[in-house]
Amino acid sequence: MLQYLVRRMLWGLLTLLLITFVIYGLIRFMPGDPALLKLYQESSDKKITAEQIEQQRKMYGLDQPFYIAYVKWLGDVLTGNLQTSFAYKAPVSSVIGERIGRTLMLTINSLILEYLLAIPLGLYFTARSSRLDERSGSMLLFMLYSLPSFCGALFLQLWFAVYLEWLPLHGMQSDNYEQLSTLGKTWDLFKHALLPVAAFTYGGLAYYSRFLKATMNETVRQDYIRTARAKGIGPLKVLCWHAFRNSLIPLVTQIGLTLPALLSGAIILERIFSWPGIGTLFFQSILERDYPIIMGLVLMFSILTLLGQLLADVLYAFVDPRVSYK
Amino acid sequence: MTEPLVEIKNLRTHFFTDEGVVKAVEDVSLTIPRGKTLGLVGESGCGKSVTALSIIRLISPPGKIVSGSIAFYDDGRKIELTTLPEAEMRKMRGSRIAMIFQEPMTSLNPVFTVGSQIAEAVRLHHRVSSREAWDRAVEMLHKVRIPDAQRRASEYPHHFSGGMRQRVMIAMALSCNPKLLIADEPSTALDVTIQAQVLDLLRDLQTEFGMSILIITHDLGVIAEMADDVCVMYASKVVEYAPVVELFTNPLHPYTRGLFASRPEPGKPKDQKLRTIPGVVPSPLRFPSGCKFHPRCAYAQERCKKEEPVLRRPNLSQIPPSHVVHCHFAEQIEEQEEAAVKSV
Ligand SMILES: Nc1ncnc2c1ncn2[C@@H]1O[C@H](COP(=O)(O)OP(=O)(O)O)[C@@H](O)[C@H]1O
Ligand SMILES: [Mg+2]
Repeated sequence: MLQYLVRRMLWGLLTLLLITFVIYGLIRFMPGDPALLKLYQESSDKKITAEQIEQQRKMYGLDQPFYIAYVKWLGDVLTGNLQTSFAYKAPVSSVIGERIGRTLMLTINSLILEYLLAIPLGLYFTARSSRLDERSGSMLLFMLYSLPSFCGALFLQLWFAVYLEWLPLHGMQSDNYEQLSTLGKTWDLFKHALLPVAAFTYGGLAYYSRFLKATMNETVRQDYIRTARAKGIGPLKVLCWHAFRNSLIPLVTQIGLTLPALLSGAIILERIFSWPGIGTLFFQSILERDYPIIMGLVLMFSILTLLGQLLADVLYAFVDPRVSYK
Repeated sequence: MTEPLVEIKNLRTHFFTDEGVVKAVEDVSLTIPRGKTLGLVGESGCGKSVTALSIIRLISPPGKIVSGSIAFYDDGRKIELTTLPEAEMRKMRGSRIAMIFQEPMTSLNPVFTVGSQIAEAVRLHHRVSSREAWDRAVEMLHKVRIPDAQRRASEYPHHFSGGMRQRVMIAMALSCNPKLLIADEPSTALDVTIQAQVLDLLRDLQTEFGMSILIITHDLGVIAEMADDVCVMYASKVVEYAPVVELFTNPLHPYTRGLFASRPEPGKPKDQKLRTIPGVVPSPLRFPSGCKFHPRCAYAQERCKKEEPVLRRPNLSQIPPSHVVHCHFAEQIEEQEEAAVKSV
């Protein structure tokens, strides 16, 4: 097992190198020059000399071919330095570090909700297969599943923020946040997070409950389920123990895929809700050609993707006794 | 005559599918004697498994027991299984009536150790600690002659071969001392030598535990080895019913005769082509009129196409009253065949 994981890890590192290299190249060939952009933003009379540009490019390390710059970037990363953001003039790690908690607050809560609700829902629908409540519930889930999250987000905003005025439209804090008590602050944050979390959750919830129901439908037809019933085990235990325990096997491989989704799902939704997290940062840094930030985020996504696969492998071996990595 | 263990009368089990009503079991009556073995034989698709699943009440929708009765005699009490509430039936399953299946490779849950699967059955029906249940599981594995039972109990099904898994299934089925063991083609999926071992084991365990066995098979060899009584089924019906020796000496129904003729026998040379019954088992959705066997029957006459026979005692002096057959012309065919044998 350990040996297998080490081998997977080494392959993962190789993939990581390849991904970052390709992306580094792509970014550099994106139209738009960050040096020019910066000078233009900062100068008052909008007159920029070629000399100034040259100097700024040198400062950003853009005077060298991209592969040399990449090697330099890699060298910095290996010593734990993600370089300095062009836009924020601060270390990339601290720019990301400041925002990541805000994103994780949304995505982790929504992941927990997804599983917490999807598992009982999937089991319930399996038990009620073909009945009226299952048919209509499945239909509703399918509709939710097909509704893109940004549409859902807009509906949620329209209904709860604009029409009912129960919840704030966007942002993370009210204007008077600083004056609130600790309890008040928490409540304020909670109110702001509610709609984004709902928008994050419903799609995954629909996906996982449908996935679980499909796997369970397959599992309950297996011979060992008949054996369990022939032993005299009741229907609830047959479903939630004998069948679910087997359906867990395909389910855990899905968990690995959700790890990168912890961050990637945030890009559009954070824009819609003006949530100052990683997604918003990613969006802005692309607009501003903030290469070090983009690379820092790409690195993070890639590592999470690889870790997700590794996690899926480990969980897989954990829930399926037939699997052994040799 | 001693009281039987199970008495099935006029059982009808149908599946209400989209294509129509599948009459998988039609008017089946049979008796499972106490401590003895009843063999249920017939080609694939003739309703054997559905009969067995009806007894243990594991017919799932769209299937349903439509009518008939299944009486289970337990310590002098008569329990009517067809109308028993599901909760009561659940207590019967595993403890009074146990079942093993044709597919040993897939009949055990792959994610639990074999010991825990046996122990689960024990704990379900007896108030024992998990330690005691585990010990019972090991004891049962030992009884089905799995070597090194202590260690193997904590292994998963995929560590066992097909034959070994069927032994595990038998251990699980017998762990609560059932009165009836239903064995649905228990050896069909196994190699010939393993088959013989499993059947031997079942016989020995019957001597030890004293349970009745309902063994289902399409193989007359298995019947010869295991059964005391034999019930031959064709197209959802019982076509012949007799004690085993009687059936083997005097098969009366043309279908039973066909089964015997298509048997490979040690005396016959290997390359000689077996006489098989022409045609196939009809689908329950398109049963022929009259006697359902008539399209495949060499002796069929006009009457067979129009009139369905009844299960009856043939009017032949050498046939004991325990032998019944579902054929209009059983007597004539018997005389015809006797004459043919004499003329050779
Ligand atoms: N779940 C089901 N739905 C519809 N038809 C079924 C079902 N189970 C069995 N049948 C039908 O019932 C008939 C008898 O099947 P079965 O008892 O399994 O035969 P066998 O004698 O081979 O065990 C077959 O024609 C089969 O197609
Ligand atoms: Mg069968």
